[in-house]
Amino acid sequence: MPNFLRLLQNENMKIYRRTGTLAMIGILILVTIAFASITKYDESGYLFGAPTKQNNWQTELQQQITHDKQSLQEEDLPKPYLDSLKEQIALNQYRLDHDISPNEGTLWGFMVNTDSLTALIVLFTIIVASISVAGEFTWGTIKLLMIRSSTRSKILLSKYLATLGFAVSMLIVLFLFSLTCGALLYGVGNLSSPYLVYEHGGVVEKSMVLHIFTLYGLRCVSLLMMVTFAFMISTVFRSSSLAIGLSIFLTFTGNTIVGILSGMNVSWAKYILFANIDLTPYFQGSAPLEGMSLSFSIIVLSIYYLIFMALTWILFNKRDIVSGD
Amino acid sequence: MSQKPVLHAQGLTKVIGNKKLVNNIDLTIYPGEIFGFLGPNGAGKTTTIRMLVGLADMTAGKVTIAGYDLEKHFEKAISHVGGIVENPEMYKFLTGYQNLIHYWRMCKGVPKSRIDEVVNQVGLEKRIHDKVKTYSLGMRQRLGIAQALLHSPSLLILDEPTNGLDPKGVKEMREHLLQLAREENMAVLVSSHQLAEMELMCDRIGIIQNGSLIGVKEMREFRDEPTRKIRIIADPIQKAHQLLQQFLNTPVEQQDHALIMEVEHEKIPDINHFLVNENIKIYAIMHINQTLEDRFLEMTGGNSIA
Ligand SMILES: Nc1ncnc2c1ncn2[C@@H]1O[C@H](COP(=O)(O)OP(=O)(O)O)[C@@H](O)[C@H]1O
Ligand SMILES: [Mg+2]
Repeated sequence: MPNFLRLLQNENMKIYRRTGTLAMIGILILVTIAFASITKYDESGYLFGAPTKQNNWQTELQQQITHDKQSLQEEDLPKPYLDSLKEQIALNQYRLDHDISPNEGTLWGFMVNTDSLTALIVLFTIIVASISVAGEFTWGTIKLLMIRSSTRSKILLSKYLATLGFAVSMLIVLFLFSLTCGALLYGVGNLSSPYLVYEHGGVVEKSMVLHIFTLYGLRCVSLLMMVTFAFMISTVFRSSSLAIGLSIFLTFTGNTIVGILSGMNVSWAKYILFANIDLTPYFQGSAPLEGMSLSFSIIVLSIYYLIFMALTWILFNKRDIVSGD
Repeated sequence: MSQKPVLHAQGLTKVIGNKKLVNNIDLTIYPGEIFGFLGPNGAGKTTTIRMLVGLADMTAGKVTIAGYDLEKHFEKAISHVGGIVENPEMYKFLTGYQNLIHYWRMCKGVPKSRIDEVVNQVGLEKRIHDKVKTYSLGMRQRLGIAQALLHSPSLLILDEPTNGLDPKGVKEMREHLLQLAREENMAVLVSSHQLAEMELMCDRIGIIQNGSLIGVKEMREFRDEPTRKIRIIADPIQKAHQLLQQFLNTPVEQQDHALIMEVEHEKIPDINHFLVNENIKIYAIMHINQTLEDRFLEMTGGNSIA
């Protein structure tokens, strides 16, 4: 489909030729560097060079275990708290028994933390997605775009894919930059250290690399959902500011809203998009809310995704173009 | 005309809510002609054009472009159309050339060298690599036309293309459109609310008012008009009035010190001669400029205006 590839080229040109987009890439790189420097400095008090003297982690872990065991003795502890204490004790004991130091101060330990920077990518991709559709209406360019021999669906698809492409590029930039910064600041020793999980009452060793990829992968799920949501809002309301505002607001308050509702024992809280958008708990052996499972969340997310997509496509194809007056 | 029409619209109607914005319009446009779509602001020109290019759904009606049904074969039909709807809005953060590349990528089977051709045609060579945000309205209008011409369409649709242009720009635009119609046999549909402009470039005009097309006329009929209204300022006016009333067999009207009548062009020197011979002092004989609309309404019966 050479024609479709040309549409994609067009959308990419419109994304990357904007000063705003270049600023986003710059900000992401700067924030990664700042994040790496601050984390490292905070942990070890200096910037460069691998931490030579491993602080005495065995003693620290032993103290932690003693402290946790004392906490266990207290009465009336809520069950989730009790469970997490037991889990902590088991994991720490395993480290002592098998001489596996905690990941603090290593490249992998740092990479595990950088996944939170994907929040920035969610933010930027929401902006790009919103401008992709609504921007054409604001600029009035939608009219010239639609009186060419491409169907509206093809144009919309090219916009959607170009936006996802932007998200993927940003993820790659983030990953590679974190890796570089991490390697520079922490060195590349200790890479074989495993990732420990508490599963079915026992501690299991897993691959750290796989763990980091899983973290990034799970972030992609919420990225995909929020971008698709922003895409829908900007198609429905044809306003990029509304799409940006609403999507960002929900991204950063969604968790809180779900927390409040579940605190009020609202039974349908688990069907809310934001209760399902973060799948990490399932991979740490728990669930976001009671009565939820990974397959439940995947089904709920798929239904939301299909609804967002269907609404976007139907409205984009049906409605008259009356903007730019 | 014997040629096949490029655009054929039948019963074009647009209803939004309970407002009939466009009411049962029929339009046929042939290759090589410039068709003027004339009407005051809010008459429904843009709404009609939006339907003709598929930006708005028609409530009723059927549009065929180059033989293809617009609704059933949108991609085929629209590939014969180039146009600008309302303002020539372009991507301001791109250069003129990047804008053209953008639209060129959406045309099938057009060589890239065509971009330079249309740039030359609209005379934008010097500034084509500047960002569009630095362009004047006239330059954006030309860039708009360049993108409309990229795929050598058989039908060019321009919505109020002279809006906001200075007189020089209007003249250039007019010459350019005439050249496209005459030399490339393109059918051109231009809308405007300015009568004088239409008069200079159109072969036919259709007047639209309150969403209805109240008539279509060949411009030739206007130009070769047999009679025109004139005003004569003479003294003594009463005597002149009586004499002229006898001399002409059309009614003569008196307004203060002037007489107004409708006469054939060749008759004006005779009238002058006659009055001078009768010792009437003549201070002025002049045409009364009727607006194109006035004349048009006279010709189309004039009573269909709501
Ligand atoms: N989307 C719409 N909804 C309701 N009324 C509209 C809409 N678009 C245009 N109109 C009305 O339709 C009439 C015709 O508008 P338009 O086609 O833009 O006129 P023109 O281009 O001849 O100036 C105007 O009265 C305008 O207010
Ligand atoms: Mg208009």
